Amino acid sequence: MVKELDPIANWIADFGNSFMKDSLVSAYGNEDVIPHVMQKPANATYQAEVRRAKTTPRVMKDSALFEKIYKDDKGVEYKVAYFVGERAASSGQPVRVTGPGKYVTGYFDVLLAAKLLRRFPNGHNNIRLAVAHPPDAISYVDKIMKVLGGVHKVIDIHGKPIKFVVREVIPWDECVGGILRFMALKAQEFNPLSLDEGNRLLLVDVGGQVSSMTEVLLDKDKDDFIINPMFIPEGTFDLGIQNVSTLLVDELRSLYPDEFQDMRSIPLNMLEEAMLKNQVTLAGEPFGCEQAVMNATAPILDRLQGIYKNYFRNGRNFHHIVVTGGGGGLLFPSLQGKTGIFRHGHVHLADTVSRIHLANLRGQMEAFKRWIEREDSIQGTR
Amino acid sequence: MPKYDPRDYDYSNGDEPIERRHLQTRLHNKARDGGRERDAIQMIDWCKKQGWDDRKVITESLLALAQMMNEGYDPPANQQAFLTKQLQDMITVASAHIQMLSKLDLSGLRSQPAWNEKTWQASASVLSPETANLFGTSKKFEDDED
Repeated sequence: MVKELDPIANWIADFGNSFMKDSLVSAYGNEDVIPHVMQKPANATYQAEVRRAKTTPRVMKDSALFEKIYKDDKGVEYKVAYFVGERAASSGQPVRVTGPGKYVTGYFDVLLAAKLLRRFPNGHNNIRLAVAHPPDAISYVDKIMKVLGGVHKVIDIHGKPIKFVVREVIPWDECVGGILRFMALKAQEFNPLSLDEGNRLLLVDVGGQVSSMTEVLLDKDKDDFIINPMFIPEGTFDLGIQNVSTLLVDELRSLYPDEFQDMRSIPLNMLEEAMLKNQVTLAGEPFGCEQAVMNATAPILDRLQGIYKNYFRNGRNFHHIVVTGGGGGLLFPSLQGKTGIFRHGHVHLADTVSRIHLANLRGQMEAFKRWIEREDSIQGTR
Repeated sequence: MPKYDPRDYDYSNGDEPIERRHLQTRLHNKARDGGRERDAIQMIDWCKKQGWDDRKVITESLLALAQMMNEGYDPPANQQAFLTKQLQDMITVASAHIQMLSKLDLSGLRSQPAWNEKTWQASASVLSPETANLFGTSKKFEDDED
């Protein structure tokens, strides 16, 4: 007997190297963001955490605990326990695989299952998933779709089996979302930037461990903009804001031992404050740390500047530069203005600093809406 | 004494001193050139130091800044509260400019709450339906237990 399908869920997800973001297209503003960390605990540890999660559900706020069901070669089912998100990061041996190595069953599908469980706690059998990938992962797209598509079964902390069916997977280049978000800002609606067809924009996306620069040509259809990204392999490189953070911790401890050596760990919000303001708040007082920030950001800024110079003509023929990605917000002070590395009069952030990590997802949500309209209208005519 | 004193002019008659226009132009150009709010604030301070503490002149400067913000310029978060407060004070005080103010749409000020949500909802229409083509080819899957 064929089971009745749930109403289709149009779902968009970005499994970034720092944070994993997702949203339903039907309800804007409902993004869910959890850290990209996974852990495969021992059975006793898992059971202890399940008890904790049942009694104090708040510990699950940015996490997912579940057992994923797999089938062996003979079709016999077996289950593996996982922590994903904040709980996985806080103790034990957290795992974070980045780059193409993460697109495998046993890892990428686990991240997916965590997100599915948080989004559809009672399961869903009719999911259409638009999934992000960096520009240089284009050759892995088939692998990504194969790992994410189809049936995924988990057992939740209450022992309830839950089934998800991802019926369609649509890949998208994550950085393009940033330009779409920028184009949808009010500034463009009234168009004081005088954007027009034929204009060239340079899109700079700084992620957790991957960054990219992409040339975008604007075209027009009557009054509406069409975005034409032109990807080049040289535009993408494996450095991101996580690398900057790691270096910044070392620099802070090295340059200011009296202030930082006795701190067991330097929290992320302190590192972000340092990158944005060149100072941190220590024991309630501002403490300047410009040299540490300069040293820590130098490698990624050098890389961006080199690509900018060698492959994007030092920005000479670009009307605007648009910066996106969570790392882009933190590096923005070093990119724009007279002292910024781009030396360009029109450098913009695709969204506000506090929401920039969602810019790619939100922008792409708009494109997904148009994709759905198109596909549904095609299917309606068949 | 400064060479030019805006108080010498009667604004109510629509008198438009060159210097005031010049100031606004400079403010605007500064913003376009990337000098942005730092220069605008410096120029307001400069006006004060020149003895031009006439609120009308400063209001003009802030209005120019409001216009920039209205056109999409986003001041840093730590400046927004200051600028908004200044603008609101000036708007309250500068009765002579109420007519001019009424012509400005200040709803674009990003410091106002819910700006993002409203803007998003209202302005996504600038993208063509062809935006759908930015997606790669999709792949369909079946539920093998059906």
